[in-house]
Amino acid sequence: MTEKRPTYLSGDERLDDLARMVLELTSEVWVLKDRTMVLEHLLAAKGTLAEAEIDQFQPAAELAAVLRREREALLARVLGALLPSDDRVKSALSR
Amino acid sequence: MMDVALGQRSRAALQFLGSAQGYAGGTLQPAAAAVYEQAVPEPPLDLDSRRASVESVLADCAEWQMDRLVTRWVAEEIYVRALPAVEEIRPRVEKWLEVGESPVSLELNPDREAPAYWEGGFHLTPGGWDGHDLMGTAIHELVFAYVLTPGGVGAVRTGQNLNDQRAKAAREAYRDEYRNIAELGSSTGRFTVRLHQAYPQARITGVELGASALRHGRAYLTEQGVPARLVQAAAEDTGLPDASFDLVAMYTLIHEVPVTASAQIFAEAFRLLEPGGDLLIGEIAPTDQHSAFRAVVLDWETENRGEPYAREAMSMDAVAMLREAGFTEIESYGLDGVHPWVTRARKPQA
Ligand SMILES: C[S@@+](CC[C@H](N)C(=O)[O-])C[C@H]1O[C@@H](n2cnc3c(N)ncnc32)[C@H](O)[C@@H]1O
Repeated sequence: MTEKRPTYLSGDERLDDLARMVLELTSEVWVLKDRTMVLEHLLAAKGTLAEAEIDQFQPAAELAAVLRREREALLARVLGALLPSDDRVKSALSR
Repeated sequence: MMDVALGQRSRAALQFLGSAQGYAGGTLQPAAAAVYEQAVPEPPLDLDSRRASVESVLADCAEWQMDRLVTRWVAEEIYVRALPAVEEIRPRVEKWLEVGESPVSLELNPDREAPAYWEGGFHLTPGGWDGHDLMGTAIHELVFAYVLTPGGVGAVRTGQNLNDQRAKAAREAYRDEYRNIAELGSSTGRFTVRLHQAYPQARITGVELGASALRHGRAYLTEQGVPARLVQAAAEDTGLPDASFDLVAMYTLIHEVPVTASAQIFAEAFRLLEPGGDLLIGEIAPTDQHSAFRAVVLDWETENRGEPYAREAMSMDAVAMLREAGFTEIESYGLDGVHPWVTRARKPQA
């Protein structure tokens, strides 16, 4: 489409762009979530995993530490996106 | 039905669009309507004033703005997702489209002159109706099955079923039986099937400009057991003989064409009908049949969802135009409220 798009949110094209990105990301989250649910269903159907096993699972120390590192890294990337790039480079290298 | 099973990603991504549209049409839009109706209990009557009124009253309404953005986004995103999805299953689709012996004939006419407005395209479809060789399949199967089924776009409200609407409209012609039906703008045959179910004795000729829609339609009608003759031609100049049909029918064709073309299509329908023959039109209801808010939502499609002629079509006086074309016994009314809007008429006996 070469035609200029109309704007919808307070007449601000950049805001529209952001909302499109949020929609696209939500869609991507959905695709992944759909996939995870299919995966769990198949694992349960094939007897590899009991239905409640994932919900009841308690990560032991080692896995808990890995999950925590990943969680913090994600937050640092997302919330840290507003920091100056030097800081972001430093933070990226420190992981 | 053709097997349209898609890979997980394409399936989930297309279903997401359907649900996003369902939410916008089912939650955001009614919320915006309530805000508007409360603020303006007695809205203006003509379309331009209605548009101005809704725009100014809802200028800061988050639900309204987001509903419109989501509707637009889904309309754009449909092709971004459905065309790669149809490519993914291309071998299966091509095999399905290869119909051998069949009671459905197809006369393609690649040299036909399509009207300029048709070449210009609709519905934000990249490259127009024939912008992709499997566009007919992508829209008819994938978009209908995964995106449009929850409703919430245009005249089809969230939760309404667009096939039931076609079935009801098909039964609205004056008589219970017909022998020879011409359907104009038949696309992939969705309404053709309903005409066949309503009038099983009739021979049906479908007239459509889009080659990919016709190709898909031939396979679909064959599978549905609906014998038909499909012809690639313009509805305003079908090339079919005078007085050779006892019913001419069309479903959601008129809002896709300029008013001048509609007048030509009505004249062509008159020419095709034998004396005493009937006309049946299923469409989006005229502007004055809707609430102010609803009329603006439908009118919005003109500039925002690739329906360049929706505004003029909804504002035209179809009844007067049909009278002008020579029709009599003209009746115009809504089913289930206002959608679909049925107009039926008769060509007088000599
Ligand atoms: C919204 S679709 C409706 C299709 C079908 N009647 C149904 O109920 O699903 C409109 C169709 O009309 C076709 N069309 C538009 N202008 C036309 C014209 N002047 N002559 C023939 N077909 C036309 C388009 O290619 C498209 O397939």
